[in-house]
Amino acid sequence: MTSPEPMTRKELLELAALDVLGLLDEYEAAYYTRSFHHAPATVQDEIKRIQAEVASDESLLPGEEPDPSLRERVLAVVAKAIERETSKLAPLATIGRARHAPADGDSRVPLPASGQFWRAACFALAGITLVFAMFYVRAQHYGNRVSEIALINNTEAILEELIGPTYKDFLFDPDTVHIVLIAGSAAPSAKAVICINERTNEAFLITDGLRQAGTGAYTLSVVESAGDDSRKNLRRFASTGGVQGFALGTVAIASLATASWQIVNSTGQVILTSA
Amino acid sequence: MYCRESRRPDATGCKPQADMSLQERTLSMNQQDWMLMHRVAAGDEAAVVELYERFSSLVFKVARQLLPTRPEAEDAVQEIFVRLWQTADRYDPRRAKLVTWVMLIARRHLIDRIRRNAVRRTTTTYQAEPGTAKTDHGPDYSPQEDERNSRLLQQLAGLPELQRVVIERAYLYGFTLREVSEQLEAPLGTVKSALSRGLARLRERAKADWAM
Repeated sequence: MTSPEPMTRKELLELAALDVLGLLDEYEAAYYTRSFHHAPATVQDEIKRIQAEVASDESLLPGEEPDPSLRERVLAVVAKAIERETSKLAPLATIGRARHAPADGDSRVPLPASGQFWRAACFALAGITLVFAMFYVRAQHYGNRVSEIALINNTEAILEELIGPTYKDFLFDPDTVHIVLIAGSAAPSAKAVICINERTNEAFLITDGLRQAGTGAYTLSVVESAGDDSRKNLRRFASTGGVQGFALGTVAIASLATASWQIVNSTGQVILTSA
Repeated sequence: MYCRESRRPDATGCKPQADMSLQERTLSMNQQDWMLMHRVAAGDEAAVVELYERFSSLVFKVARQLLPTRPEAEDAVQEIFVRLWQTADRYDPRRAKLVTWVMLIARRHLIDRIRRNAVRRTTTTYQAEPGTAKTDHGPDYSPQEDERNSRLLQQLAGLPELQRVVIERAYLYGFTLREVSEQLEAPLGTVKSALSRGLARLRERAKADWAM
């Protein structure tokens, strides 16, 4: 069903009086209003002027005036209607509070049953919310602690896997000497440290950043004193580039202070050295 | 912001009306009317009083024209003002001036009231003689017999018969145009035109009489 075309200016003007006098039926009145909104502003102004003239024209009306007492009656009826409508909305706006203080000065007015119910429900809800909040905070704290412990354990496991189960004996023993090797130009990011326990002569090598090159084999060697050409190869190992640990077993060195340590690659190039 | 009465600017910055163009004054009046209805809708007692002061006379006269007794008209006026409060938030100054809105609400309410009370007159034919229409106001009621509409009835007597009958039935008795069309067995468009032209002619004659 299509809507009819909006009325023309002539039709709008012709029916203007009928519209304002309520003589159009519901459908026609809606059609008139729709047509009014489609009309140009000048036509709208013309219609509004005509309708206002018709509405305010008293020439066809009786000459009787309302009784002065009617004013009070009308105002009272309207006020009552407003009060009735307001009281319908009141419970929504006044949960937990009385709207008017009683005349005897006691501001505590008993709540209706529904008000008491809602007040109790609000308190219960607030309590439940508080308990859940506390539980959440404690759970979060516990979770953080568990993560922390797991991280520590995981770190130890990784070190044990990389370096071996006895690495702690070397790292934290007071008799252990740490000899740091310095990288040469061939592999400037390589690192290595040798831990030697002077009491037991057990030694441990930790490397990092030794990239796989050529055959991937490296050799740790030591020259016990300056001028001594007797180089002793202690350990041949392959590196994957990450942190790695190698147990060197018992290393008998006469003087750690004068010994010189080197890590060379498979071509004999010095990668790291202690001096 | 414009002052209603003063011609001098005041501390609130009101602009003298003498300086306002017609368009500005119209706009200002529309804004004032919209504000008034906004306050009425909010239940502002002072606004309801202002609305009553402005329109009570007009509303009462319309009610008196359509209802047979003063008490009925007074009851209707009370209901109309409650209705105006209920519909105040729907008032749109772009669609109509406030007097138009008040008249529309009043007339519709009165017509509904007439219909609710089963105020129905015996059907008279298109050819019926003036003064023969009867209603349920009472067994012998007829607007032609009522002094309060004497001015209108004098004017009606001078109209072509179709216009007179259509105005009686639609304007005074609250029949819909469709009902009038069926009663008179005349096309709806003809009834509309007759009513529109008849009302226009009535108003012209009434104005001419007032001027004399």
